[in-house]
Amino acid sequence: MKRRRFLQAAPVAAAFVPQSAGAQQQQQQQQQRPQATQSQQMGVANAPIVHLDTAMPDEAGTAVGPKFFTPTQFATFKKLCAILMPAGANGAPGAIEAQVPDFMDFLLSQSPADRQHMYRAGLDGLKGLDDANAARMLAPLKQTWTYDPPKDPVAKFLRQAKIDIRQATMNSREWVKSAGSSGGGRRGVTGTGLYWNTLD
Amino acid sequence: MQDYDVLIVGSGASGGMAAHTLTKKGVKCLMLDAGPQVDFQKDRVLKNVYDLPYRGFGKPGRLSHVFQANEFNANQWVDEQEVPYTHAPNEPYNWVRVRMIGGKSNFWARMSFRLSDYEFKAKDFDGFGENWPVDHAELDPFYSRVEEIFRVAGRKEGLKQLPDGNFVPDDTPDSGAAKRMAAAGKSRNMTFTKIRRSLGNGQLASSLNLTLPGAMATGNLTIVPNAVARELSVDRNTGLVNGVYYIDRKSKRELFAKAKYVILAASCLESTRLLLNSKIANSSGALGHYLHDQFYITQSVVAAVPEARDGKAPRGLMGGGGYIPRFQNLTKGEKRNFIRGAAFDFSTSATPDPRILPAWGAELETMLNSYRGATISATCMGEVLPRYENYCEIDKTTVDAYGIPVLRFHCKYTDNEANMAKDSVDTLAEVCKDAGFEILSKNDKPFPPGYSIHELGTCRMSDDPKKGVLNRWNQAHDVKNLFVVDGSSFVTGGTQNPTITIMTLAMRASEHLVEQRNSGKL
Repeated sequence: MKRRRFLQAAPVAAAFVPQSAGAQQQQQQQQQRPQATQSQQMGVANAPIVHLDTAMPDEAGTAVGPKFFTPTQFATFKKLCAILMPAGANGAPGAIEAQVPDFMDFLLSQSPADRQHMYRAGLDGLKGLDDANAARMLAPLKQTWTYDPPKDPVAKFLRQAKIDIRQATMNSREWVKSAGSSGGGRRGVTGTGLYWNTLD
Repeated sequence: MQDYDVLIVGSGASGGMAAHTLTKKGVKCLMLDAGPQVDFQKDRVLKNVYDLPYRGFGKPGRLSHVFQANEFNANQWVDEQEVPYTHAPNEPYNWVRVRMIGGKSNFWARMSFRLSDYEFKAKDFDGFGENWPVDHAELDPFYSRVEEIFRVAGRKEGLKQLPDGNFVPDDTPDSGAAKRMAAAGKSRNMTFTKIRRSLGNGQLASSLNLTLPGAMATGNLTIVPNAVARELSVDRNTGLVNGVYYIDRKSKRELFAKAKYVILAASCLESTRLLLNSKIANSSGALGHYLHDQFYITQSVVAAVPEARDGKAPRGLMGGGGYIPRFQNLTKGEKRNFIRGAAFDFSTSATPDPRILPAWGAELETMLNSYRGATISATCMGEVLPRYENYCEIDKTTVDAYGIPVLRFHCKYTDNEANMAKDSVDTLAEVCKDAGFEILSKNDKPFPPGYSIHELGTCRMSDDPKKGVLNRWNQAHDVKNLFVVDGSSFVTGGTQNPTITIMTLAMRASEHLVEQRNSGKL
């Protein structure tokens, strides 16, 4: 059973829902009903309804873009991703392997204007970022943390990007699967949660 | 159409307690709730975060006021497009709402602290605002009964500012780190105890499992989900309420339910909105005013215990949490630049938020692993003064998806809250330093008003009909067969989470209603 299929079945399997004696009796009576229904006559009475183990949209295709970033901004962001969240020595994928640049381009394309502006201004200020100048250009991230937001647009962006890139990486399919396959999982990986369906 | 004795609007903590109390005394109740009945088995499903459309970030711009929302739980909150509210850009207000049977009691943090006479008689102490018309001694027996139903666990301490209750004894030991904080806090008037929490029954401590099932079992309760109350109806001859107009959430069909008595338990602000839209119960002019809550600062102090770093904590040093009740202005004449005080709850097994660590990449992960489980993180909860200037009103330019006019908020914290927050956080940081901890970050800037989901005060009670909407029994001064039993009746809120007090008042008000009815006074 694939992982998604297992999870879809899990709550049902895990949940113990006590039934009243009356409800159980009613079920038994229904099961023992002698008359053949139309579907029984057609020979499919006991055929279970199969739950197809489908794929997610982003498993089948690759991103088309960038749609939010300019090519220059996208290149800078890719470099920033590689520096802030590199692949780990323990086999953990980094932000590039987790396709974070494409994901963040998509997320930002739908984000409020103030978030979009913060990203654009920050990336424009980091143009030319590379391994050689990273320590200097990312110096704001080495400063002692305060809760007063920095006024400098690059510093403000870097604070946000550091967290966004890390979260987008650790919430990726690549990260969670890597953690699962390493045996016992990587510390800090959450991976799953109870999702509230739309309420009827 | 069946006739009911009492119409209850809202099925959360207060509505559930009202139904529980009334139905056991043989009173026929009709309960309306704006949301659906949910099934915790069927309506939630385990999912991988990477299978969510936005990788756990959530749809951008949705629920922008609900800082507690994430992509897993987004559907449990009220949709801000469906039921909007308004405020000026420089007066943000976070109105966090749940519409379903059980309401917010399905999700509350279960913190269950009694109010003390520092709150009930606050004006006597510092001269600000008004006293409650009740005191702790009067509410004590009702608190005890509610605590028994909700199975509140706690440790008795004999603290005047945090009265003990009818507890399931909490004998769990304090961690070594908490003991060190307690020793260091003594000189600053800090006391430490365990968090007092409703254990409930199984997964929930909610009206859904603790009060409504028993009420249903009496045969005296009819619950109608998806019924959005629009306006109360008033008999012009008597001035009494005689029913409510409501909208079927699914069909948008308008209906009317009549009743001899009405109990509003729709949450502080929804009950207030209903009264404002009904244009009743406001001869005092207090309706909608004195809006207050508790300011919250999560991660107000984050500190590492050096001996616990790198997974080397000796057994018993870390783990569990604790609570620091209000420690400021407990004696008259304290020289501070604010009145009232703040409290903290804290965890001693935290891992710091990566954003506060000055590193990235492999260095950041190394630091995080070193601090993992070796960190104390405290949330500051401060009393917000109830001020007439903080209020909500009907926004005549905006209606919700059901055509009902919405609320507009005018609410700001003042210097009293800012000074209290700074003093509280600075003091706890000093305590942590004295305990030998490494301060990683401190924050004295509260979230916007409303964040705590403890909105209070907009139908406050008073013995004087000119000063309050309700009397000491949660009964409207202007409309004698109308009761409001949610947090809107509060005069002051203190630092304590309000739910246990809300339910205590709801139980007491419901019994008073029955007594009044049976004696022919109502």
